Amino acid sequence: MNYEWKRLIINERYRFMLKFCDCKIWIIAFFLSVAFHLKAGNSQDLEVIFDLEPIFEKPVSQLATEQQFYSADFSKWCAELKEPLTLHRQIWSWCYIAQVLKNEEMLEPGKCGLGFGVGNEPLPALFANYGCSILATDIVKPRRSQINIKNICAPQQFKELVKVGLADMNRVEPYLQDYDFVWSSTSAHLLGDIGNGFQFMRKSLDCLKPGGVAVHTFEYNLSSNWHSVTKGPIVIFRRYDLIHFLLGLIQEGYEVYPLNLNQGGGTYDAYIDQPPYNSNYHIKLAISNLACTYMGIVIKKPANKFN
Amino acid sequence: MKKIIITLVLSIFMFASQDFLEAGIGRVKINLTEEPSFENPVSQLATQNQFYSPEFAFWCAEIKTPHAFHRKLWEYCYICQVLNKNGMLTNGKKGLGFGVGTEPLPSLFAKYGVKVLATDQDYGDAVSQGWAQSNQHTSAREVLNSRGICDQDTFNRLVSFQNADMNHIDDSLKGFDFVWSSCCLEHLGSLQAGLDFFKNSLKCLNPGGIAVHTTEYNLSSLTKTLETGGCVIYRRYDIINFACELIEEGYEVLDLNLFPGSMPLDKHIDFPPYSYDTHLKLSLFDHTCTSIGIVVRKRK
Repeated sequence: MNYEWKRLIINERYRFMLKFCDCKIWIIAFFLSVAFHLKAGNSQDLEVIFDLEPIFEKPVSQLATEQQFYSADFSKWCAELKEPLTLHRQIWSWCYIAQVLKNEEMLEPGKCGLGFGVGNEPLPALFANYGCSILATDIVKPRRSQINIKNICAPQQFKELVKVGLADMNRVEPYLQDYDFVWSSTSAHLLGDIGNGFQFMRKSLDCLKPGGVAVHTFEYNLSSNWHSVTKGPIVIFRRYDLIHFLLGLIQEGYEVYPLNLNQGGGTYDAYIDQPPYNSNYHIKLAISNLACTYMGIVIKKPANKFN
Repeated sequence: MKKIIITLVLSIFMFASQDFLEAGIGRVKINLTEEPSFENPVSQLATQNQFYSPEFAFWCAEIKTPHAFHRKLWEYCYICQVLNKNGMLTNGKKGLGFGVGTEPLPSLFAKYGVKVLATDQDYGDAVSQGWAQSNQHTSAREVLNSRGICDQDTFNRLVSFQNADMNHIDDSLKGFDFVWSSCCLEHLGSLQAGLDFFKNSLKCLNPGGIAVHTTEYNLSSLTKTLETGGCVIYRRYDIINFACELIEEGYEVLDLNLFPGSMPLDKHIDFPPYSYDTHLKLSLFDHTCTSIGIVVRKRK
């Protein structure tokens, strides 16, 4: 091999090494790894967590626990809802739904939300305050004046953005479509039967746009995985039902948040409120001798999924 | 130069952190959509894809059995792979096998220097329950090395045999690094009896020890199954609930991969009389089932 050839080969090698050491490549590799990381984060499995107390700032599907009430975000939501911060699980339910939607970037102008079983709850007014247009429904038409009774949203904006309607949760009408998010706060367990509750939650996903989010809170059984109230005005969902339901959704292609079944280690997590319920410490309570509390679950419709 | 190093370090960290984040103990992932891998086994089903793994072929050669698409073979190889992956097949470890029958595993583990206590039910019981005739049972320790997997001296030194009732595990069986059983849980009379045995077998372990058990898994129904009798079949929820219970009691359960596989033999259901080379999924009293392996670790 003559000298010219050798030099050419060395040159080529050198150029290749230069290319390899170019920091642009490493920056690309870095972003690729980030993308890989994010993608791996929502792989299609159901993670069931027991060892970590639920965190309010980064909510997954989780139970109401005492620790979450002390979070800064929690008190922020309480202030926005104009509710006093008490250890009451109803407040947790509202704040949890708001926090999940905030994290999913749903509380922005132009987003459309649909609430089931709204009654007199203040969430539609809160979301309208962020610029979302809301359809608040219940089995009897919710009264607009009741929803915004604490003036959470400016009256003019409220009037423009919030509509009320009739919707039976047992028969979700097919014309309810293309919403960015749907929620129901503590009402899926009031449908007469455990099966009806899950059927409602499943149907509520059909109301979503691709990329939409559904958040539901309901009664969850802490004392038993088998004995429960399965029929009646209030039913209590079990781990058995819940995992079965969520796995079914994953098989259908929905993204399901990890399921955190940690019941919390706080003082008032161990306190079971007995009827007539003492409103000061009302995180866990007894219904027909079963300890229960609210659980929130979050389901996302992937951006490429059309019913 | 600094930039390069920083991005390099960060990108390595991003890749690595994935593993650190997922190394949780009090949690379990349930996967229904991904092929299980044989090289990195979790709690998983027998699928055709795993039979093509080189490590599978390696274990087949180790137990001197020709490669075939048979779930019993998968169970043996799976148990070996899980134990080897967790560093249990090394000199000085102690293993306990339940319902060993004529399994090749005790002699294989002895070959790797593991002190093995192989147990099985009393021969008299086996005759009365019809196991003895079907040649799945032996009272003799020697049969365990009939394939000549391990040289006889090592075998005599390391392998011992005793009778053990799986429904009432003797308290003296303690201090093992791993326990295993292959297709035994389902023959204990009921779904609950099998799971109780699983829990009791964990008491035989040292902290940090591993239990691997394989059993029947129902693929045809989430509700209807054989709940009592000579052979029971575990449903999806029985397994998930059991895993949750174990975690609540402080054990670590390897992630559950309940994907039944997507290759041709995963869709082929073997009817009796069963074949030897296409026997991954089978029909058992009108239920389609296959083998599932469950791995549980005792915390340190």
